[in-house]
Amino acid sequence: MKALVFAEKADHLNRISSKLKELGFEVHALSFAEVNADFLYLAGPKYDYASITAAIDMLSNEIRPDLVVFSSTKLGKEVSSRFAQRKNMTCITECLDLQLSDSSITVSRYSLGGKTVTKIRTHLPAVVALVADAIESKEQSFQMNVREFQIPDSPQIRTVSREEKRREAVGLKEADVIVVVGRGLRKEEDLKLVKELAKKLNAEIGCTRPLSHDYRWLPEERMIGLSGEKVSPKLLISIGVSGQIQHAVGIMNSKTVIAINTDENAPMKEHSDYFIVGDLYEILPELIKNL
Amino acid sequence: MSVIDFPKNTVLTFSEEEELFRESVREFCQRHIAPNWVEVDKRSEQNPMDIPVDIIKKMADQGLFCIPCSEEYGGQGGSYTMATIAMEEIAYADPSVALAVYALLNTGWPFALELFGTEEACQEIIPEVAAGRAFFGIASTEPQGGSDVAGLKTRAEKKGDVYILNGEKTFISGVGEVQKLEWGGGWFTLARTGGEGHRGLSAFALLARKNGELSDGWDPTIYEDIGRHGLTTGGFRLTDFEVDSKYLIGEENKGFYHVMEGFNLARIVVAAATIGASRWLLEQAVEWFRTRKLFGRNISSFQGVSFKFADMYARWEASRYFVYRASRLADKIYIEKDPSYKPLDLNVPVALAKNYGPETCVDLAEEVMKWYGAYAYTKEAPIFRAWLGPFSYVIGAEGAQNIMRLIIARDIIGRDYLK
Amino acid sequence: MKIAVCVKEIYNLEQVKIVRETREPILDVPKKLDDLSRNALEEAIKIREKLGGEIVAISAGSPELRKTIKEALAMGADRAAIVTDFTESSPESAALVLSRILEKDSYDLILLGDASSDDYSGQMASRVAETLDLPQITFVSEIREVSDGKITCVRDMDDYIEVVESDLPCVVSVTNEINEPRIPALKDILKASKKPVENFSLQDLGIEISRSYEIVENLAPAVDRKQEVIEGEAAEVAGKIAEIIGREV
Repeated sequence: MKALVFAEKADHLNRISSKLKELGFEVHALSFAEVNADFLYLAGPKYDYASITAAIDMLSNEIRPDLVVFSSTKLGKEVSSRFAQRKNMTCITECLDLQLSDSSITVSRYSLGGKTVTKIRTHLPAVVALVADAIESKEQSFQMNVREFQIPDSPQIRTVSREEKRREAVGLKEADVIVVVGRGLRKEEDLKLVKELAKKLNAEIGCTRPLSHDYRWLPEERMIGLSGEKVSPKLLISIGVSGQIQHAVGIMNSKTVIAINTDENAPMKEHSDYFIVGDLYEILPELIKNL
Repeated sequence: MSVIDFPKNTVLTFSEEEELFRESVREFCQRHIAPNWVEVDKRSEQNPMDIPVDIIKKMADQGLFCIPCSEEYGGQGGSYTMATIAMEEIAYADPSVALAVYALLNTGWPFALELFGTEEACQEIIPEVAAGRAFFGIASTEPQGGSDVAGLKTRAEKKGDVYILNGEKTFISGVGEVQKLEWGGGWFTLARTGGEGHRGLSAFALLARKNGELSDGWDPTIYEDIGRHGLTTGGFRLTDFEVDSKYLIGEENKGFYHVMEGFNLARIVVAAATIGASRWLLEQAVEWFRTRKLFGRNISSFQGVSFKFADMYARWEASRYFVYRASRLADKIYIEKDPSYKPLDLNVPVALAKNYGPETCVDLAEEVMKWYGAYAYTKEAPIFRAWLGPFSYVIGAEGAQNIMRLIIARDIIGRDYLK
Repeated sequence: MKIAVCVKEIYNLEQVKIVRETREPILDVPKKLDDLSRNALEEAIKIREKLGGEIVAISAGSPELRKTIKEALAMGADRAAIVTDFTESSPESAALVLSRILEKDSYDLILLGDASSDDYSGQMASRVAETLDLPQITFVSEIREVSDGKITCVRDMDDYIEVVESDLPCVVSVTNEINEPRIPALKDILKASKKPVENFSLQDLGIEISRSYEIVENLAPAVDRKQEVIEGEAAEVAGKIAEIIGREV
């Protein structure tokens, strides 16, 4: 069985190719950097969907893969579905895992805004976009046949400018302890309290979407939720977070969850091991003293 | 997130437009009213003249005032049921009912003005009210009593094209709003132009302030209410207050009949507000039952609690039927103008709604506070605000509860048998 | 400008409850217009305010769509074209249905939400654009400029921000952050019922739906949190929390 993979980020591609190899695929990868693959097509970077789709189309005609895989990034979702439509194929995005049996694959993804996890099975050939951070696999060995590849320069739209987002190196994925802050925080200045607590605990700071995307008090990469980071720390302390499901899916894999909220009826209670009904402005200073 | 969803119903049905409107009002209220109602109640308790003008403006922009008034006068061109739906949802988001009462007064009384007032008065006043720049409510109550409308003492002497008013009104909503809002406003007011009794009363659109300018001879006081702080209550003295004849509402000496129709309309939306507040209270109870444990079990596992809840829930559902039955009837009479329905047909349906709705709400509030226990006794818990606010309607605002009972008894048993 | 906005009806997710024993979702809940569809409509209305033109709301769904589409009309769409017997949906089939309707007219701009809030699949813009052989601009957080024949957008991607330009006609999908959709007022809702709605059946469009994948299960993840409630004086509570932290880390 052959799989053709594309991901613009090398670490995503490596995670995906390991998984595919584990499942028994011969891994063909289109990449902008040296990554693990049986057959690596190394290309100069291009970010426009039209060129990448054309490239995947070319490679797919040559290789005839059973499975075409993308990373479920915005670019990945855009290209995977354009390609799938071109080839009249099924495409499933935001997949949290991948299983192979005979000539079918089974994937899981969130539905109903995160309330349920749907398991979908489809025959090969198919196209999938995987959430790279959710994919686990053991280390694999690859043939590493490398070939230079030219992505056709055939954009359909004109890029006027591209600016890298200043991404803070954020260790949420690796963190043992995470402090999450939500809309219970009244002002941006109050983050000081949260940062103090995080420092005492040697913890990373995460937040809910309003704080990063609406108020812009914290960088986007600190957002934990359905459309953000998914974390699995030993301990997660949730402060002033109501616990909407779109956020809760991001913290589900935490070992222990402590939440502080003034509202005893907050949905966050269902997602907590310890639910403290109280005012963060009173409790945090005391807690910081205690540690 | 709402806990109480309206059950599937084949009797109390709403059109798609009505359901869409309810959703849109609910969304507006979730965004702009629900997060702020406690703050409004607290601030206005400290200072009654601290009126939530910014929220009023937003409500005006969303088209929540003058709902049944013609688009010609800047109204929303909707039905009375639409108005009822809006008030129910606003009160659900603000169970102290201050903002709901602001909205209901400024829908019911401008509509009464449209029904009976002059073209000129409508053109001048209703657009300002719809835009959130003016207040228009009801000023009927006087120091000697509210329920005895026919015994009103404020006098109106006609001098050429102008009426000169002298008297005093008490326990009037909006005395502060009229002073604070951009344009001003006033009330659907009653004064005596003729002899004794109900046949000597005329109705006027009394503007205490218009175009930002206070009228002469209007002397207000603001009261310190025990609840529903977001809306001011006060009184005013009228000393040779001039009212142009274009502001006469309806016919001279027929004012009593006009105001009674106005009261019928206002009482429907009053009851609508109380059913909205009741729904909030029911949800507070349910959420409490689902989390609070005592003696190792949910407190709702005690039948004394759950059975009482069931009784209160039943009364709430019943009040909803009374309210919408009255609003649909009002639509038949005043919007569709169906000749087989007369204004008097509203008397008993409205009395039922206005009697049942507020009493259910207040009784429910008391029960919810008892279920919550000591916490509900503190000001930190918002529940007492949803008790004191609606309580104004049990005390008698917009029609005393026993007057409602009188209306029902008189109609069914027969006026002669109640003498 | 002739603008098409593809909108989606979704279950009112807040009302969806889970059966505790089986972890199945209870889908006997009303439907509503997806939030991202409203973002797309709001953007279309802003463009029409500047350049004039017509906005057509297009959607495929259940019979309930006849009511839900009124939300789009109330927000400001001039008319709608819908399919109401489309129930076995998949991204491919939805794209096919939408494209068939879009083909009936010539649009300068086709707007959609960048995904729908029920499953965040995010495929519709690409699939429709590919079917109609049009350029696409996805994940748009700001439409900088629209004029006859050209559109300039800001794209909010994972690691970078792009400003791109395309000729019209073009397919554009917008993010949730692009605007705050208006809440229709009563007047708008009353007007909505009078706006024309074309209702096609799948047969009318010559489409036979077959889903190419199988849903094996759709269950809520098992919730096994302790949900232990702690209350009390701040100092006391803080002490308890510190204790728990000590144990866990």
